[in-house]
Formats: sequence, C-alpha cells, structure tokens
Amino acid sequence: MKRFKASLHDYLEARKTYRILTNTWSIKKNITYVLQTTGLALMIMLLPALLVINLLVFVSYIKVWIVYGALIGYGFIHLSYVFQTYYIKDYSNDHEFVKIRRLFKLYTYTYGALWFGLVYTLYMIFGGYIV
Amino acid sequence: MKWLLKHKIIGVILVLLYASLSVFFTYRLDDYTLTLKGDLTPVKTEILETDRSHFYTIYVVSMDKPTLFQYVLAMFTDTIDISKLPDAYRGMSAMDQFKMGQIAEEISYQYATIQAYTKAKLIDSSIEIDYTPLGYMVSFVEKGQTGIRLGDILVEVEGVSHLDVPQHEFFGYFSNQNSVMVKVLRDGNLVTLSLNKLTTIDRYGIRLEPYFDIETTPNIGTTYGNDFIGGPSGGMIQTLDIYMKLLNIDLKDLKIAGTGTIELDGSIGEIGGIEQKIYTAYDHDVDLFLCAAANYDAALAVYEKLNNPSFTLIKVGDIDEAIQSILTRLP
Repeated sequence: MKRFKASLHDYLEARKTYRILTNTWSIKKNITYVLQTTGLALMIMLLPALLVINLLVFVSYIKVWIVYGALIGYGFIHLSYVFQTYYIKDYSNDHEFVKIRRLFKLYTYTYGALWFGLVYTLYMIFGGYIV
Repeated sequence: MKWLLKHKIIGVILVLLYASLSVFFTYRLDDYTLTLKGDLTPVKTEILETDRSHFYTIYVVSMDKPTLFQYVLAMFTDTIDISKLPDAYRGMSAMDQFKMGQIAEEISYQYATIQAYTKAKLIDSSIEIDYTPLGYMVSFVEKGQTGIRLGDILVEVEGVSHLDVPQHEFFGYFSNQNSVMVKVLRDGNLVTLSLNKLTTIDRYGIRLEPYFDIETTPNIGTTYGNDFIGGPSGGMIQTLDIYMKLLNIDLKDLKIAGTGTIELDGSIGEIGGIEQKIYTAYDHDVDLFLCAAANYDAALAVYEKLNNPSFTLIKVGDIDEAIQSILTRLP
C-alpha cells in the first residue's frame, strides 16, 4: 500500500511538473510541441493506415483489418508519447525527467488499454454485421 | 525531429519518400475499374420449409477508381482484371450504383420466378403463377438526365398507357421525339415528368425493364435485399433453384454454382467478370458450374488454366438446356 501511495504521489507530482512546464511556454512553442510530437506520430502512422485502406478491398475478411486498425491506433498512442518524452527531456532536469517519463509510460499503457477495450467493445456490439 | 534537422540529406530523402508513398496510396485513377474475386452466396428463396441450398450465385467485387498502389498490385495479380470504366458510370455515386444493383437483382428474381413457375406448371398443374405488368422500372439513369429516378415505374408516355400498346410501340415514343411527357409511379404516387433527350448522346439515357405484380401458388419468399450484393447475373441460378424446389427434385449433395442473366423469353444472357467468377468457384467446393453460352469461351480459357478443379464447366444457352444439364447429372 505504501509503495502504491508513493507511486501515486510521484505520478501526481510529475503531472504537476509537466503542466507547470508546458504552461510557461508561449503559444508558438506549444504549437511546435504538438506538431513535433502528436503531429509527427500522426504523420508516421498515416502511412500504415493508408496501406490498410488500400488493401481492404483485396482481402474481404474484414476481421483481419480490425486487428491491424487497432494496432495502428495503439502505434499512434505509443509514438506520440515517445516523442513527447524525448521533447520534454530538454526542458526538465534529470529527476523531473525520470518521473515524467514514467508518467508518460503510464499514459501509454492506460490509453492503449482503453483503445483496445473500445475496439473490442465495438467489435462485440457490431461484429455480427461484419463478414 | 532534431535528429532529422541535423541530418539534412537523410531528412530530405525521408520527406520525399513520405510524399511519394502518400501520392502512391491516395492518387486515384478515374478512368479505371478493378474486378476482383468475390464469394458464393446461396440463392435466397423460400418455398418449402425443408428447402436446402444447392444453388449458389457468385458475386465479384468491382472497384472503380483504384489508387496507384491498387492499380500496380492488380497488374501483378492474375485473378484481378483491370478495365476502363465505362463512360456511363463515370460520376455516378456509390449509392446510385448500389441502388442499380438492387433493382437489377429485384427484376432478376421476378423474371426467375416467372420462368421457373411457368416451366414447373407444365409438369405439376397444382403450381400457379399469375403476373400482370405494372409498368417499366427505371434501372439506369445517365448523368445529366434529371427528374426521373432509379426505381421509378414508367406507366404512361404522351398520354398512352403501357397496357394499351406493345413494348416496341411504347418505347417508340422516346426514339421519335426529343421531349416526352411521362407518368411514373414513385413510392406509390403518380408523378408527371417532362423528359428531354440528352444532346451529348442523342438518347434519353434511361434503361427500362418490364416490372410485374406476381402472385404464386405455392407462395415464394425472398430475402435478397439484406446485403450489399446486387445485379442481374444470378438470374439463371435463381430460376433453377426455384424450379427444383417447386418440383421437389432431390439434388442429393450437389453444390451448383453458375452465372448468367435470365430473360423473359427464357434465354440466358451474358454477364461481366466471368474470369473472376471462375476463380471464385475454384476456391469453393463446387460440383457444377453453369455458364451462359456467350461467356463460355472466356470461362473455358480460365478453367483450363486451373489445377485440378473440383467442378465441371457446363455451357447453357437457355433455361431448358440448364434444367436438362442438371437433371442428367444427378447422382
């Protein structure tokens, strides 16, 4: 329990540090940050997404593509936080960076789990209509 | 990103590669259409509760305006056909194409029902069919022809009812004049329209098919409207399915596929994508494949390339020939 509380404390502290850090940035800086992290991840994952869309018609077994679609979505989440981690490195000291990196890992796993959960739930609901 | 800025040459190469791939995946070739293998679907008729599916229609997948990537992939795949998109289909929305397919399938089931019941009645007099023409259904509308819609039922031209004159005379009003007043049934309501000949093609640019109100004994049920598959190419197989079910002919374990339209005079018409249909049948455990005579040579060319196909390819010209070809091959 103590360990969990300590971890939670660390995560909350890292979140606070990260927020303070980004709040001090100008709008231009914030836009650059978004473009070089989320934007870049989106750009990279766009190619496999386009590949899947192009191949859809050749393999009519749609369930295969749902798995690829889910992986592409997770790839975007993962890359986005990888880029954020590297970006934030230059703006935080070592102690802060270690904690923020852990926080981003937690975000990656949490959002990843939520994404796969969402895809699976939608598949359970609408899967019957897919051949 | 910083790494990319540091290594400018690699950065430029990656950007160019990214841009090329993006174009490769997104640029669409408006003039082309791809025809791919599809699947088998059982004929969706219900006459008796114990009916089993022996007859399967085959659909192929048509994909208009492929991307460069899809086009290149199709070039290296034997089972995919690349052809020029017909002018009439250019600019047509996907929804209109879907509607056209559904209308063609509905009309095909009508003609199949008429043919099957008429033929079966010759053998079993308890089978009855009564069909009265409701008009001519619009199954195609050329781009630029406004007012008339897919699915409208034409009942009157220039004040003359479709019931009063033969078909050729009724259609003659269109060829003789540049503008006609017509009455159509749309959603059960009678609508009056003025149609003009399209100057670009010197035609009205609409296709009309006889449409009937049909009553049968025993009653026939169909569930064909519940999917994305459409078109007239299953007509012959639908006719055979209804005929065999009506006469309760035991087909044992025969699995029969085929393709060809059914016409009101019992002839079997040509269809598109025959090569892909043969490849599709090859992927499934089919015993017989019935093919319209007009498509036979193209079908045979593909059939001879197949390695030990499970099915026999049969050429049929009309529905009587198709019925006999099955009855003589019963196990």
